[in-house]
Amino acid sequence: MSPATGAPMGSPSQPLPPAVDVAIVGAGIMGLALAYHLAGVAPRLKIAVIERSYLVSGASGRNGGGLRMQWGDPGNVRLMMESIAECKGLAQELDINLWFRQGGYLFLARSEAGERRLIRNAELHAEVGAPTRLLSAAEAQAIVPQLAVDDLRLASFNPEDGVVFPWPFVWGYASQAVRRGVLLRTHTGVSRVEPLQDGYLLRLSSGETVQAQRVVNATGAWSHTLNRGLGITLPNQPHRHEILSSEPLKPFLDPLVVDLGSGLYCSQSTRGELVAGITLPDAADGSDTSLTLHSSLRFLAHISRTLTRLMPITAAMKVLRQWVGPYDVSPDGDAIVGPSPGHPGFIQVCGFTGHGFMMAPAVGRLLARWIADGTPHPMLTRWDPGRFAAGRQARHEDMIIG
Amino acid sequence: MRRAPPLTDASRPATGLTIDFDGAELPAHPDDTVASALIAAGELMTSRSPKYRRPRGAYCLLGDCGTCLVRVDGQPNVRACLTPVRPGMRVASQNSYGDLDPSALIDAVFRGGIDHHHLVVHPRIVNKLMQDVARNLTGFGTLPDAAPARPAWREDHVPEVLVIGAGRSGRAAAAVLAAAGVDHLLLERRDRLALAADDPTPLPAQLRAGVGVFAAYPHEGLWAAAALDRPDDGHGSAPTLHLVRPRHVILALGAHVPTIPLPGNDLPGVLSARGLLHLLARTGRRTARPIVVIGDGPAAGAHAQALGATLVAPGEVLRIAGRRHVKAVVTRSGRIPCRLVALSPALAPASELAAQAGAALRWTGAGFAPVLDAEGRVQLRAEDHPLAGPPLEGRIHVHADAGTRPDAATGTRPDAATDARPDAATDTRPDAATDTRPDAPPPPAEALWTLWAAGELADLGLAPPASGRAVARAILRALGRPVPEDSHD
Amino acid sequence: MSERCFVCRCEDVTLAELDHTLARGLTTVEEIKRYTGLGTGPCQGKECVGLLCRLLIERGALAPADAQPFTARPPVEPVTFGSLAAASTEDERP
Repeated sequence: MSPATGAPMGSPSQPLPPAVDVAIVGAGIMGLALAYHLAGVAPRLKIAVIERSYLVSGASGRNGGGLRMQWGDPGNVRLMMESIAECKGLAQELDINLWFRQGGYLFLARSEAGERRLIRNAELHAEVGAPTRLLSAAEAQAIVPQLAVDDLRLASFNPEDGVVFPWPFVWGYASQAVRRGVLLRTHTGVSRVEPLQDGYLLRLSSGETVQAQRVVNATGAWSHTLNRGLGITLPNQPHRHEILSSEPLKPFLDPLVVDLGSGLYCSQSTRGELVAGITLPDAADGSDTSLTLHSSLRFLAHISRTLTRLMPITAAMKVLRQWVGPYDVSPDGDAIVGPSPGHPGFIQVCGFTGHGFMMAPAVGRLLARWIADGTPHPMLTRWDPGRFAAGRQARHEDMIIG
Repeated sequence: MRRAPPLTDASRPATGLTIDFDGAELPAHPDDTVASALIAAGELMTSRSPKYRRPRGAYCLLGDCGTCLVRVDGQPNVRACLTPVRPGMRVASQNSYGDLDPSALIDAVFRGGIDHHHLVVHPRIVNKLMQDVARNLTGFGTLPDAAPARPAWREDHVPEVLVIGAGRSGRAAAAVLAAAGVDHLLLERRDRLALAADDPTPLPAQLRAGVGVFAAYPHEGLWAAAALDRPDDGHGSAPTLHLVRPRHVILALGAHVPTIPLPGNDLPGVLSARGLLHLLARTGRRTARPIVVIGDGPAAGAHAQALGATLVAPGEVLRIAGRRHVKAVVTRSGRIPCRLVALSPALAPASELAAQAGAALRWTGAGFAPVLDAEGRVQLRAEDHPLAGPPLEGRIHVHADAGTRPDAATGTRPDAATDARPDAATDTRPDAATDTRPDAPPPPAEALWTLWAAGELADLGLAPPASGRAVARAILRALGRPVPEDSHD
Repeated sequence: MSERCFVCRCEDVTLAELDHTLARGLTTVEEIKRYTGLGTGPCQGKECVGLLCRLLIERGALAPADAQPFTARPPVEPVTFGSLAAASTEDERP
């Protein structure tokens, strides 16, 4: 079945057959990267991706576009080295501009605990082969002259880390997946998934049904709800995160700056806007763990206070827009990937706790291979969804920001 | 680049006030904004556009369109149309190249258009080069010269009524409230001179001019406003943040002037008729003929007459001609040379704050307006279930625990005992009390404030001043206060 | 200078680019905004979202009853980080 004409990136009226081999629910970066790679390694599989809204409507369209290999867990470091290496030629592979710029990430430690983390990480990265180096306050200021460094104890810098513009990332995977024969249906929700003798039946919001041998849950912050319908209980939960952009200015900031203590991150996009977020203590009304997407003054005030202390010149810069996106938070900070407990044909690829976007290029490729030929990759098996019930929670990755 | 000034002010003596624009000294008057001083001096171009590098300048002259941004005293991206001049002010164009015109090259290479997603993707090495170049071409102003000299102030307000906008309807509403002795606050982003140009009668005491309301935060129970950022004037003025927790809010925000999609509609010298007329009223200037008004909005004829301009319907226009600024309007029947073009389309109500506050919106044919009841109360959007329907934007619930109602310690309201809450009758939120899903949001409590709309934002079939008065009287009724007869009706 | 007809002057989005976007199957306000950049500049759609809807209605891509703008987000007036810092009451974490 060919894609609807004039719809290189899927469509609300993309015809769907009564049955497919693999149904991927959710056309965020994870679902689309998976679809693209799966269609590449297993071209005979009938693959459908079903998305409840427009492309980039979820977390994939709302994040700051950062890509880093500066993690605390060696597996994550290696995974991200792969992802970043893949990004170098990805624009040409997907035939779309990604505005991938490797300006580096600069982590700032203003406390003793932070300093220890950066030293530990630098050692780890050296072992794994990531070019992270430690910098003094003066050296950090040489890279970012606008930084106030009086209370800066230590910084770490990796020049290969970078940023992209999130939207074309998604569109690129979407259009190339469609070109490879993936059926991409947008503006259609999956209301229920029912187990069959062999496979699953998906009931769509359009009234249609589609049978699938295997189903992939790539719905991120919405995965909790989709799982519950099948009686799968996994502990990941959505969490509201806020973000903003500033007025566009000529380029002055090369790296993405992260302040460890506050969880603030700030980078300058190709359009010239500062894009920034921060860790915020949860609001009293409990709205942060639901899927509400309202913006708050509390966020603006808190990030402004931190940002103006970190880079005093920003006190004179203007906010252009604030918005919100969901993190799909896993209790041990590690993703949830693989066959679901009790439902081996229902595959999870969620719980990325705010760093799914940057991992998608590598995860999509690895998971596609796993689904196509059945051989799991150790990088993914450590994210086994069964670990929670078995009491085997993963090492808590502590380099989580925003 | 200078040209024959399109505005005259023959009757006003020179005051000796000058501002610096890109290194050249320009004469100005104390009642000028930066935009009016530039236009009067024939300096119509203030920047070049991001993609095509076309000359741009002020358009709407009312603070909305975003193309009059200039650097003022070391601050980037300042709206020239809302910034009053000061002696010796240093103004600079942004993203410009002096007399160089890059648009010709770009037009030659990209005749059809630029799809920046597919621009020079291959080969990789050239793509990287393109990205580096694009990064340096993009962005608007450069970093500010310095951080503000003084930290910002914060002011908290707990008025009974917040009126946003001191145009005709806002001022009329405030007058009714003032006469009834109701505690209210009137915020207006434009300065006092702009208001005097609208209406020369004395400005109300409860007015704070130069304060722009930038957000409604219903979950936190407040509205936020900022004093328009002015470069430090050496007198120690500090930017101020205003946080307001009102019981009633009147949105009297007026309307935006959309552009009219015609070839050349972005040329410097293409202005909104409404904004131009306001500029002339503020500065006492007149236009130097010939001027052309293009429009089919309800006010187009009146605008043309007031400007002494030729009126042309948009359907008659082939293109607006010029290189760095408007030179002529080319119509089906011929070419009309002109100094300025004033557009007069149907207006788009300024509904952004209403939408932020949860208003349901309806399409007006040219823009969006909040849905109202017969008295001017704004209807809120219904809740969306997270898994159905359109995406999550638009979910809103107003509830009491997100912000505190003022108590005796922080502020008193004189007539708390007679407070009437009409909200229940008009509340369109579905009843979430029976929602037993474990991850359902808490059920909405009663609204923190009642939202009203007046003037061009509303559509009560009344002229703005009458509309403002009607809404104010409805609020008096809601507060249980005596409602005066409207002597104007 | 060539004749271009602008729908969004802040971000240089022309009528031709709008039609090109529609031809790629992106027909909703939210999708068009993201693909073309319309409404993401200094005016944040004040000048152009109404015009966009009018053009979509004229082209049969949108029914008037379904017309909605993209999400209104703060701030609608410029405000500096310095001003906003004045509203902060939270302690910074070490």
